[in-house]
Amino acid sequence: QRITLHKDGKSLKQIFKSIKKQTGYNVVWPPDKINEEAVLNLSMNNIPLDEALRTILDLQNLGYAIRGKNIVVFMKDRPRLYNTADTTKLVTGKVTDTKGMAMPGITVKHKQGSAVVTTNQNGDYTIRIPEKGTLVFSYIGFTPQEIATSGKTQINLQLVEQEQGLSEIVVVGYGTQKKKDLLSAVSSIKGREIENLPVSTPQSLIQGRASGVQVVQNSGAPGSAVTLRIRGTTSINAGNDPLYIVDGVPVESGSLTGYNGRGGTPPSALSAINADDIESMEILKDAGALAIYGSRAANGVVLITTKRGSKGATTYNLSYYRGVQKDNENTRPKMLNSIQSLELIQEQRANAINDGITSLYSFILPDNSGNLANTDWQDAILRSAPISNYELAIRGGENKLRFALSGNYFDQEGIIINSGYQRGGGRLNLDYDATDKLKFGSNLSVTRYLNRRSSTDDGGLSLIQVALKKSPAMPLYNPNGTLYNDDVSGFINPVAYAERVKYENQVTSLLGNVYGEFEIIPGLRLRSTLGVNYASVLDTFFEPSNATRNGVSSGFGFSSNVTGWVNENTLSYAKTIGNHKVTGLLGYSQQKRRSFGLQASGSQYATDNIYTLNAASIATGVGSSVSANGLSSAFARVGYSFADKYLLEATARRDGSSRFGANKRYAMFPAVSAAWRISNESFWSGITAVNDFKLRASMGRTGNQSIDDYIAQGGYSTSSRYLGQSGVHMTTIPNPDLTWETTDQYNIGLDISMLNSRITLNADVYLKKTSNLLLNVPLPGTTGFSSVLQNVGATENKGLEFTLDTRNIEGKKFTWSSSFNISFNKNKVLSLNSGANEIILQKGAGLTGSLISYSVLRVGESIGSFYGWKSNGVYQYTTDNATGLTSTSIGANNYVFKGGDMMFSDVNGNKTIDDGDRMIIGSALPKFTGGFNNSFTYQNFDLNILTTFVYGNDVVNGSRFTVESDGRFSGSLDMLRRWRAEGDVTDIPRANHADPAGNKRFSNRWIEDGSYLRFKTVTLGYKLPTKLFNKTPIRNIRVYATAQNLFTITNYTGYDPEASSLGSGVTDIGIDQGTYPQYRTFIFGLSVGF
Amino acid sequence: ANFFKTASDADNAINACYDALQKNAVNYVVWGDGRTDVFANTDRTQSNDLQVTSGNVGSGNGYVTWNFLYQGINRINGVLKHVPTIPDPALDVRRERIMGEAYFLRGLFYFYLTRTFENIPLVLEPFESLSGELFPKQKNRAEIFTQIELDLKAAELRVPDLPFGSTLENKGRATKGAIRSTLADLYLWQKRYVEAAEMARLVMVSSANYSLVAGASYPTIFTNKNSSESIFEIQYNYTYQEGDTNPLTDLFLPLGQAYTAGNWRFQPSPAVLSALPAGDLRTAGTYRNSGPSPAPYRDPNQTYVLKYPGTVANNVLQQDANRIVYRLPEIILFRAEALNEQGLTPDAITLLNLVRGRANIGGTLATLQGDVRLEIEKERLRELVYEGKRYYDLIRTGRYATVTGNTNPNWLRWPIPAQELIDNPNLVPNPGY
Repeated sequence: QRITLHKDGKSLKQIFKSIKKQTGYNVVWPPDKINEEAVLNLSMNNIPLDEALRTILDLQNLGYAIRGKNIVVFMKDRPRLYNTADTTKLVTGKVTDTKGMAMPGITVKHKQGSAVVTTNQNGDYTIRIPEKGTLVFSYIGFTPQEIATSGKTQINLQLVEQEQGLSEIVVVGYGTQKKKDLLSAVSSIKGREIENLPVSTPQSLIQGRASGVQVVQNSGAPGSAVTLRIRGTTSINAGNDPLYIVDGVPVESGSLTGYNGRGGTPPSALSAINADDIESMEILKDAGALAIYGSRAANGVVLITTKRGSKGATTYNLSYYRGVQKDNENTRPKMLNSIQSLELIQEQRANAINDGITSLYSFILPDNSGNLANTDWQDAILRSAPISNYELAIRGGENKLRFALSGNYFDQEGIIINSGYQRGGGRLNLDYDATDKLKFGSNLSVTRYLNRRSSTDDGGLSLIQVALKKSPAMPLYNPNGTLYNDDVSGFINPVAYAERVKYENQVTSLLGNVYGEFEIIPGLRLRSTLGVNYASVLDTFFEPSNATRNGVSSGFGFSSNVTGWVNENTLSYAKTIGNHKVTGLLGYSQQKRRSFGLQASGSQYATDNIYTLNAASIATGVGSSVSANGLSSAFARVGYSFADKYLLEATARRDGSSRFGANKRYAMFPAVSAAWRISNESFWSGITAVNDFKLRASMGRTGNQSIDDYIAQGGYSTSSRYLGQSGVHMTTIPNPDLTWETTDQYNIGLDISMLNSRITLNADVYLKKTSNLLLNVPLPGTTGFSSVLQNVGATENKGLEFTLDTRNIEGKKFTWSSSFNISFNKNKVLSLNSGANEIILQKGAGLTGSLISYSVLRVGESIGSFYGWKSNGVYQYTTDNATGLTSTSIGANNYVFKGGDMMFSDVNGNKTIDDGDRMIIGSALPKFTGGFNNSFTYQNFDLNILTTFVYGNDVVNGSRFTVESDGRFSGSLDMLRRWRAEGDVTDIPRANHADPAGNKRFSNRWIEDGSYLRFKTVTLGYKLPTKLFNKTPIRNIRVYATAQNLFTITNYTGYDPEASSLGSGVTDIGIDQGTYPQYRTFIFGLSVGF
Repeated sequence: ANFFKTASDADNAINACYDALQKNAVNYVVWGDGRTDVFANTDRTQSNDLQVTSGNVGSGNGYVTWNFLYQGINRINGVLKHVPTIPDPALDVRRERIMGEAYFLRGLFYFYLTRTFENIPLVLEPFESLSGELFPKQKNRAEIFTQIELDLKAAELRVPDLPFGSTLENKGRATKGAIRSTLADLYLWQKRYVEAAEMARLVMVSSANYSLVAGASYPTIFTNKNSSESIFEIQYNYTYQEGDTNPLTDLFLPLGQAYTAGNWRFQPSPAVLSALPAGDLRTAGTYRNSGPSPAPYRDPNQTYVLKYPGTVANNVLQQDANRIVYRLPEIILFRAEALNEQGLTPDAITLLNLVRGRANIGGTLATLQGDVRLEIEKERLRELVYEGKRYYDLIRTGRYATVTGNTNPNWLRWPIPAQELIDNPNLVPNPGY
């Protein structure tokens, strides 16, 4: 059959009609796939049907087939070029990783054409391509490979993980950089290093893994905050915590509790972030990296990036672990039994009477009942506790849309009875490529955690303190099995208290942002983000009347909202012309944080069984609070590099903060960095052992604004009521000149890669000078105020840090890689408020007889210096005090030291031991810290051992004070060697509860070396051979066992050298007083991928 | 940054000055009664207290602080500076009275300060910005006394005998009676006996009608509070939920059994026990022994001070006893002392017997000026012990060493607080500390 068409501008539809008329064939087409109105200008005269159809349809990229009386028109899904079977072939194969595990989701692309497929769950692929061509295999995190296809129909391939190091991408402020192109000091921790570890707070995973960062786990309380210091302590009052940014949104990093009335380290708001969602954590350390964050960056910045979806087959990962936690019983103080402790009480009373002082506690323990128990109070409140975690992550994406969805539930019981931490959360990250130029995306995470807290630290209700002080003669239970609460000495039954008191912090947080990015011209991108950080906080406290002896029930409720938003708009540009590479960034950002809190308290509850406040018969307080602050900023960064050899970068940020005085509200934070890649110079070409060698330098300025809102404006309090009438008085003196702390930092670093990057070394030396300290300057009492916040004083930190990464053995079956880092920091106070050489601060003394410690801030010395008396052992004989030394400031005035008293140094030589004899007796800051991480694989086994170490810091052993200060009803076994008679040679003084000599005053007797080496994490894993389950949808299975805090080598005699019971303030660190003990954790886990 | 704009702001500001007086109730009694012969240790006496009982107090002792007094003075100075300039006409009816209250409170605060620490900084301007006076120097006691007199005289002019509508306020806030009582006290320190006697007389004949409580009801002065003989009491009431309590209750009461009571940190000394025999009607309101059945306390046979009993509500002891600054018997004894020192001994005896008669201990046998002087001293002990008077009395009369046996002349004043010496380089420590 032949066709004739006239050149008259007919539409495709009309042409099909005409064909039907001429041939009798029905033409069938899918109208939704074909533009049937397309007008064709064709002229055909008596052309064979098949030729005519091909001519018509080819122009539209359509095909046809004749089926019976129908001509079926369809879309040609293959490009015309490969339309004919004879020019294409099928290539099949399997992609595995270096360990032979199937790799799904690998992109296999024909380089010259547009054919793209991805591997299936077994790593298999099939692609139709021309005879000659090249296939590109790629996957994020792996080195892309190109394979020529000529003559091959099967290509099996092993993809090699990208070399960690040079080609690695590092997240920096408002962008990313290749690690090799970094001009500044940045430490990076990848998500895969910190997966499946039994911790509640991601911060703690930085410990030992990054140089220049000191991480202190203040307490073992579940969920509790850790102290993180990047390159030392700069500030005295204004906080030393870094800025945390999660996916571009600055987040709350402190605790979100409104009630801390019973002590104990509160949970960190950062615990809302599931560590297993983290793709990477970057720690920005020098001014070159930090200045882009301006007024908040003086303490460093931690950037947390969460995992995102990637193109390819959807992956499902299910993980679970379960384990047990237990304190190390060897570190518990060994206590006297009840007979021994009664002897001690009698002796300390008798000695007090001998010294002419009415004795404490005329009654005898136990009470009149006469029963003598022998209770181990530490054992009564400590337990072994389970920990478990469940997690499901689904990640994947099609061509335009990628997603990452995950959910987790974490349940940790505390090792102190009735304490614990539970968290449930979910995350959804989306990315959508609307067009080649326009992208949208979002991150969203929702988390809820509940922390059941323990009353610990300092005070008469501190469970640990009481467990160490309470008489062992007191029973835990009454004869009828109820908890015994009638201790006449006034000590709580810690078990009753722990079990009956409700002390909870519950936080629901939402963290999310949306972004849009548009490429205006190639290389020039406009990006706009809006982030929100919301938290709803609920604190519940209830102390029923049966929690203490003669107790009065009381309760407290606190509810608050914290809302933060940030809008950031950046314009970025990157262009390479020959050897010249230029980058630029211009941005504007504004943000606000607002908090609202509502609290109420009551007492004398109708019953001990209802904890809600409406059961309270007396309302003891009600209040609400509102606080807000804002930051408005503009910033810019330009970079230039020539031939990858000379790199330059300049940054500036101008911030305006609502927190500061009207006269000093805006400030500029500039920085410049430069790097020289010597290994790219021609003279280096002979040195092949070193494949990359780069020198870096940066200098710049950052600020610190971590003070309370409104301080500069002054403040009044309405708490000054009288006769039931309201009263108002000034509480804060206005200071319109209040402004940022300023930190100027200078950094020089070098990055070396050797032996084909098997050895990389990064080293940095820095100097940080912080001035305009936001210092609470003590005021004389005659002003009516105790202190005022002023910009005075300066501190200095200087240090060295090294990171050495090595791949020691890279065999087919066995590999071993190591990462070692060590950081030295030296801190010094340069100046304080005008005229002052030192500020002495007092801590402790919550419970009668607890240690009052002092810390001094002295010009020329480091922050965190312990300040007290120096003791040199115990007087063997009374006659040893030949000079008639007396005691003045503590104990009885003008008491003459005698045998069995401590020998204190009379530093000022005035024949009496007074406040003037105090000196610096220790430092809470370590000389160096670091970590050593070793990873081994042998066939399907993997082993990872992380050790962390700290050297040269001192810790105040408040627990030992508690058990050796004979102030109360118990003591440690060491008290058996106390001085009892003239001539005794010992290190423990005479027992005397009145302590007229002040033997237990804050002296070097209580200070111990806090250095330690710890096997922090040991993980042994095994990947099950794929062949066991290759008929199932399961892709991989790994089982593992992890031990945390396996063992610690230290001379410290308390529970743990890593303790800071009073928090992270510069004068609070290094004091171990009733701290929630650290524990060991053993878990077994399972991770399954589908 | 000035807060003072309306009449109610002025009310709030003066209330905050009284609030300052509610702080640290223990200190007033420890300063005014400690280091003498009225306290004995218990088995719960702590090291700060031990120093107080022995008299040998160091500058680091916890009771050695003046910050809360100067906080009050700063609030008062703010009132004195700003209240005159508040334009609100609603204030006009009470502006002068508020100023008078402020002058009185400032005089009272400085009176406590200089009696305790002797040479002290005199601050008369509010510290409201960093340009305020940071490091004031000390003035001697005579100069401080001069300023106190100026303040009290300024107050006397402005505050009527019964300035307020309620009894509670007339006992709890400044009245002419309170101001003149303080003036009488001051004049005795200055040995201006004629003026002292006159001030006391004016209080006794005041239209406020102060009258002695019957001897048998003596304990109700402390349990019921704001009695007919009360002139000025610092008010505490747990139902107000003001946050300020009177911890003197905790200081003196023994440990509780049925409920949590006190901490029994001091007990009455033998001197007090012998001065106040059982027949004296005041004994029942001054101290008690828990006896063989100690309930509601825990331990039997403990002697404890009873002047700050607090309120038991719902089986909970609320620490809300008032702290009495002046009550009529003291004013009568002021006048007796002032007349006796003028040689008007018979008139003095009449007044002294007024107080003794109420206590049912009969008239004094003394007739000579010197003996009457000692009898008045002893009567003040019996009537006013644990109300923070004894130390100041003995310093004022120069009989401290004789009566207490504490011969160290440095103990005639407390040490300047150690922290203040560090924070203010212009301060000179008191000798011997």
